[in-house]
Amino acid sequence: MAAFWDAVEINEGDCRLWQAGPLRLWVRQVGEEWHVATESANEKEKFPDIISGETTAVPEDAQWQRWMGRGVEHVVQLSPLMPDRAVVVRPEMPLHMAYGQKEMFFVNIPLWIRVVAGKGKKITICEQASQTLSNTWFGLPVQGELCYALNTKARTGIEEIAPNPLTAVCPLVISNLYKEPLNFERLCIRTDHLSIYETENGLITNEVRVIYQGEEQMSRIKYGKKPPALAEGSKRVADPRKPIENNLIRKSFNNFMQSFEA
Amino acid sequence: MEWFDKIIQGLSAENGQMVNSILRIVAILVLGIPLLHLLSLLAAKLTKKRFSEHSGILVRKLLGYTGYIILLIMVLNQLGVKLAALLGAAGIAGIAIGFAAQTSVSNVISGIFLLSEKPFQVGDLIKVGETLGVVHSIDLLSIKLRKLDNLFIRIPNETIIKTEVTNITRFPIRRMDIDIGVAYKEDVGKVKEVLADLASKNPYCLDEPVPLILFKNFGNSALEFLYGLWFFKTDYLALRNSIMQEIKERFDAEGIEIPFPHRTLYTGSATDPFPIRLVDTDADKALRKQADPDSSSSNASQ
Repeated sequence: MAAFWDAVEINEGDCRLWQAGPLRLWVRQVGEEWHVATESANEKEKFPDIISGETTAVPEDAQWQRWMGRGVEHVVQLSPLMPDRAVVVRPEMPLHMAYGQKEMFFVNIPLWIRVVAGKGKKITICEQASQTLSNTWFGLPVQGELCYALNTKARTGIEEIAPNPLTAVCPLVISNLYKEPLNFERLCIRTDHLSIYETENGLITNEVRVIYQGEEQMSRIKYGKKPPALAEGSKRVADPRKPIENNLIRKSFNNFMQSFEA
Repeated sequence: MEWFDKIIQGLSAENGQMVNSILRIVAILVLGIPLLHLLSLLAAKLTKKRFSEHSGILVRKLLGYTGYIILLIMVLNQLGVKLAALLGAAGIAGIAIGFAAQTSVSNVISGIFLLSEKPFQVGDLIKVGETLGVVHSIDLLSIKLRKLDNLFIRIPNETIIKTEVTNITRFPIRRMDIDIGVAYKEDVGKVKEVLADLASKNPYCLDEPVPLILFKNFGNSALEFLYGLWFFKTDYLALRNSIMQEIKERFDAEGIEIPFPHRTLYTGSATDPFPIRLVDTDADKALRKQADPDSSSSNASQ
């Protein structure tokens, strides 16, 4: 799976294919230009095989986009990226946590892909979502934020998640320090604060810790700055889109929207 | 050069004061006008950053008008005009002008109220009566709208204060309400499922707030549903274009009939045929004869 993110040399006229999950991406080099085309699998379907930059015939009906890249070496590399908006994650069934409970959940977040050309002098050709996520609104109708919507099984064991080069597992630790049960139906994860680390079993993000103190008080939210404990020593392959803000205190667990913001 | 010297001597001796005044007036105008422009631009920029574009425009105009009045007073002073008498005359004229300028004053006052109330800002899409447009500017006497077909509309502030104004883009998300009618023979549960599925698959429709699917009414010709889809305010056209087509295509695929309005006539019993009587008039006979002169006309009455 690591080979998916390796740099690949590409000759003039060559066409290379990357395929995983619901995405196919072709890159070809023509003169001083870079051409990129993508194809998404039908809903709920995925391409069966993982292909990492193999040479392939030029697809006939691909919708190509041209990118100018003068003076750049003929090397192309894909790199993973977190989505460009926050993601509202909805457990497939409502979750409840009693007072004093602390639990770690694993949420699989679809990645974006950044196509980078060059070796010494690098240029970013484009960024592409690996999967089309539905839009959703986080907040009240008069004030809020546009996010992506994602359904999750909110697994408690990372081994239950099948490895996928186009998703990153986000460890989410939630502690309920309020005297009443925490009932929530959705979580808003600010993915722009997450880094991505590469492990043997796939990609993982830094840990997100949330301490719930009731609806009237602000919840404490912390983003880990290092790889999570179960991926210690792993290599960081993507920085956060935005720097992590310390002491990020936001109101959480709105009963009306049942929203939790991480 | 004797003539030149004579001119200078004449000017210096008799009109020295006037020359000084003219020079001062020129200095006031040459320095004052650019300085006034600069100050009003700076003030507008600061106000725009801190408050809104609307406030910036108003501050710039207020400073401008005030500045020009001050410059005018300074120029008149240099010309030796007695301002006290002028103001006295202005007071009397003011009463006369006041009656004539009632509407303008009302517009100015309405503009001040609009400024404090802020029902909309520059860039908002608003509807005033039947007029729909983007707010282009908010001025002392009126607001200017740019209609969606790029026409320019001026609406007096007084009209805005007295009329219902709908600010379409005030909030970040909106709901698009679509009235859908299906034939009475259709399964209501299936129709709701299809509509929910369409909403979940359309990329412009927000997952939350949850789309509204309401079985509204047993209509005259159809079962009436209200289909309310939430969307981000900039996605109106994209959602409208896509969802209407998707509804039609999906209904066709699922065999769900969208009936057109119709009336069923009964003559007292739903099962008996509706009785009719054909009447063969002379005009009908003449037409038939004209069409087929060889055939004999027959009596078609029953």
